[in-house]
Amino acid sequence: MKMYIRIFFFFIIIGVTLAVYILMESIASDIAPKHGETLIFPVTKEAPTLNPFLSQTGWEALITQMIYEGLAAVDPEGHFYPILAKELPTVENNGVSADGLTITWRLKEDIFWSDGQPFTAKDVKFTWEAVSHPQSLAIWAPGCDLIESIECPNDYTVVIKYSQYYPDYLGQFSSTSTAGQGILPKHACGEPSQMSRWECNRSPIGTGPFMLAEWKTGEYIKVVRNPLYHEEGKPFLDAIIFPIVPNAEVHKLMMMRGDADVWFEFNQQYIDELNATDNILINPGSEQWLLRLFLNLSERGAGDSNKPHPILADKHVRKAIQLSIDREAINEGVYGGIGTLVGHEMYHGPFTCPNTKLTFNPEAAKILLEEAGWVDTDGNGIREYHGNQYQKEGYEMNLIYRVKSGDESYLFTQQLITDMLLDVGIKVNPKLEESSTLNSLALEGNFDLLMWSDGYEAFYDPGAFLKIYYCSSNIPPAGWNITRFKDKRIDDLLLRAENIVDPKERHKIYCQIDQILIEEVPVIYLLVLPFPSAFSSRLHGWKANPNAILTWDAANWWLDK
Amino acid sequence: MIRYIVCRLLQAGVTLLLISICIFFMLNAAPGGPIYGLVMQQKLSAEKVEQLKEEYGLNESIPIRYVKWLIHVIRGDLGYSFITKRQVMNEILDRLRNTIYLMLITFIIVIGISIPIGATSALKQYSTFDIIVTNIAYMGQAMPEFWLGIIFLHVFYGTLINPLTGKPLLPSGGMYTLGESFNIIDRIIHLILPVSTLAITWISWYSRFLRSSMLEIIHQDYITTARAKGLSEHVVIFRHVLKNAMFPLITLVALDLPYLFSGALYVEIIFSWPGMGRLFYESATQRDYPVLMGILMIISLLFTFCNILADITYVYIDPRVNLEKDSS
Repeated sequence: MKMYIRIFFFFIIIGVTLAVYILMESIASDIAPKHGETLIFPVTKEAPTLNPFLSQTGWEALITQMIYEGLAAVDPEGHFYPILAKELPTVENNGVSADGLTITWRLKEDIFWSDGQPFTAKDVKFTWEAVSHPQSLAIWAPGCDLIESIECPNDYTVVIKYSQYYPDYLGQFSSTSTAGQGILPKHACGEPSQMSRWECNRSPIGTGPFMLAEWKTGEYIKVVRNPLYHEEGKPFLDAIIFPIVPNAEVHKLMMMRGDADVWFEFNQQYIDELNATDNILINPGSEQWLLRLFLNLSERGAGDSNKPHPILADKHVRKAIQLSIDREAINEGVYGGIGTLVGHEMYHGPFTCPNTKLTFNPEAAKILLEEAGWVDTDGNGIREYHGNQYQKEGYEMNLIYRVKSGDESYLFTQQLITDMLLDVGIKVNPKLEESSTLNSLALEGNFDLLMWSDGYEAFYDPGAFLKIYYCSSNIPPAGWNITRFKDKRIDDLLLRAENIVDPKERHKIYCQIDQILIEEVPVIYLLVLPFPSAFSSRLHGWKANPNAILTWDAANWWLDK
Repeated sequence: MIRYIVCRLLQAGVTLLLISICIFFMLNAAPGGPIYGLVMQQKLSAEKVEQLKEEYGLNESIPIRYVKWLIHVIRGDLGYSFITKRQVMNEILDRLRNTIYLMLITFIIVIGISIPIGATSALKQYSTFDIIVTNIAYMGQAMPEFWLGIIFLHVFYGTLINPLTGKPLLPSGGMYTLGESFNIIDRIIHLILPVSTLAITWISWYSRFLRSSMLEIIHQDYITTARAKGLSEHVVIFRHVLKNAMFPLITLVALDLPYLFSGALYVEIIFSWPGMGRLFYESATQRDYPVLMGILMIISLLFTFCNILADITYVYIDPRVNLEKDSS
């Protein structure tokens, strides 16, 4: 009897062991990436070109990010890591000279272009020659004007000599920012001066996980697995098709029906419907751009930054406008609460400075306005000037407020701010402008208030960004200081920062600049807004990265069968 | 007739020249421009902006740019797109065939349906058929295309299911199913929604127009005479009433022919149809002047040509019309 019991328990143990083994195998096969399948990724606009240096709409970057690679890239935590380079250049590995003016990149030696040609140092030099050529029509070449020369002592070493220290040397030839640049193949393109007419703008050759298979103009772009990709076993997908689907409602229906696998940066109004659909996962998106209100400090349309604005030249008025805006109400009412209230310029990345809490206090705003001489004496609800500083007696407080047309959330935000300012006695005339007209009006100074989203890339040194918007030498037509803000302290601080190598010291300087901007209020900072994306629950392997475009890790994506 | 055609062609040449001058100056005089459309994204320096303007030829005065453009056009070169850097003719041709495909099929269906409906409605005035068709026609004229398209999409793609396949009854858009080889049934299925959206409005207009035209003629004395002479009703209607009622419809059709090439913007956007309408819209929003000029000049040319064609067709249909006497 005891023997039978022992045999019985022996078989029970074998059976349980087998069952556990089979179960574990099944789980493992469920979570292991599967090769094959085609991903459908509808896009709203067609990429105008697949040369990332000729166009920056963002739609070409979705695709070029998968075809071209850079020497390095940035992970979601904001750290650079090498891709085509063997290692990141540092002082310790002699990749960065002591004065910071010579950067040496050592390249991997087993990388091939998708047509079988080897990737070498000459391709890096060629990329620089092309994007910095005056006739190439390249519009994205940051820092290339600071490069004195690029030498290639051998096929896998690139020595870059700068005329002055360039803090973003790691990102310069990388596929880092949301623009997704990369290295161009010397053998497959053409003369740098003819870059706008290259065949490889429509038929790119890259080292990335995918390569172009088909481009039907107006219909779709299809990329397929690059058999020569340098990461073994990747990519997992056979192909990705990007059909052009201009209408957002159609996009939504395709996602809900399962005919699309990804929706890139959709409008927040669709979040609830998509959340309610079983087969869809929402990535709330990374916070990138800061929605901001520019105040023109010089007279509207005068074309002379020395003529102060009759209303906004007074800092007390600017502060009053800031106090009158209820940003929480805008966040809740327009954006469903997904924005983050931010009160200053240095709001993300390693150069973040302490946040300033901006308050909503219309009563304090009214007091400030009255102290500044703006009082409503005729009872029409609009304040007039009674003082002797910037303009004549009785001058009415009337501002033109311009935003880009075609964006419903901007329109609603504009309407809310218009009402908020009217509550404190400032009459605002809201206007919608087409995008390129708005840019033109901004540069001409033909506005009083102007709103759009912008910000510095989190992992880039913000010096260049701050200079563009706040340095007095960049007042239009020279640059983009569209508020016509002049402050010698900021000019001096920016100049100092350019010559400092230590990022910690530069950080201190940027925080001082941040503080001055908070005091002077040339710009009112509203919200940082994320751009949500939606994914089919069949799609795995994706990871959100605020420092790169959505397809940055497409080599890791795979679909359930 | 030959003299008439030659005169009209010469007139057309002058008309097109004037149109090109107006369009070119209006486009280039508008605020903003293609560089400013690029500029914001990059915050380019003033030197880079000037460099780009020089490369695109935008630093010269408008009259000089017009003359250069005209010389290129006479040589058959419409220039290069500012945005894609491709030849304008390639941009247009890539989309033109898709537009002609969609619009030609729509046109044929519209003519094929609106003539019998309009004629029957006129012959059976105030009947049940006439009342129903009239009301449907009013609804068809009142409904905007973009609204109708979205409704169709929600119903036939978003809601209804094909019981055999379990998939949506009709596709969401495009010209064919991606990744599949050519299949005539697939092509027809993809045409159903865009053609229906376009055709409903057109059929409403044309059928009402033909009905009115026939009702005017059907009460004329010569129709009564034809009946009194003993001609069958079939001969009276088809050889006398319908034929004469077609003249105004021919004018309408001739004036609508350029739509074969210009496309239908809303339908192309909603149903992701890669046509001329979308190309025009995208070029306009991006200030791609060479492509815009190319499209507008081609449409102007077609419009002018179709007008001439309508006038010549009249001669063959209506023997009373003597073009040479009229033009002299």
